[in-house]
Amino acid sequence: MERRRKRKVCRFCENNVKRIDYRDDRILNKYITDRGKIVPGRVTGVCPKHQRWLSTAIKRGRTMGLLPYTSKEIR
Amino acid sequence: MKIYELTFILTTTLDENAADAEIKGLTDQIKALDGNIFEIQHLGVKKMTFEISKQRQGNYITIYYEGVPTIPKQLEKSMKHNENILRNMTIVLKPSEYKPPVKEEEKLEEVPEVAGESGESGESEESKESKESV
Repeated sequence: MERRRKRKVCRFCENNVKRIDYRDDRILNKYITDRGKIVPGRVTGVCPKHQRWLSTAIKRGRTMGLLPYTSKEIR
Repeated sequence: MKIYELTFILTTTLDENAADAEIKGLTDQIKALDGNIFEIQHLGVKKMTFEISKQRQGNYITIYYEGVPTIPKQLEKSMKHNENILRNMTIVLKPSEYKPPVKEEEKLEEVPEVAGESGESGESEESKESKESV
């Protein structure tokens, strides 16, 4: 018997988020890997709209030095 | 007129007074260009994930203001030549994304009216009654 996976729900939609702030590195850190890559929406369950907002916020956070471009090990 | 969010990183080598002077310089510049400042947020000293001009920490400050599109351009020009500002970013905000806080003067005007209608008269009567009973 194959197990049916539970469908993930977008956390931002649940909380009715209107804006993702790039300065909030605590939230954004959840959506990047150890190597600093952006985690795809199919893994985290974030909807396409909020995934777009997330990616722009992460990129802005990187330019302001709040989030890493890569991990220290690679550098 | 658009609403802008300007975030910049000041060096941690500056004193409090010097940092305040830097912020005041920017706010004065915005005001001189007919801009309207809503809010100044001090995000505090944060650790950066990589070095920016050989610094590991930075003092993050955000200014919300309203103005003509020429203001951010001129501000960026001046900030580029400033050695105390490590990096800056300006973002245009939609009206739905940011609602300017109500000014204290307006709040103060509203509060006494409400207190005068309901609170004061009731309290005074009660106090009179209590005094009489005692």
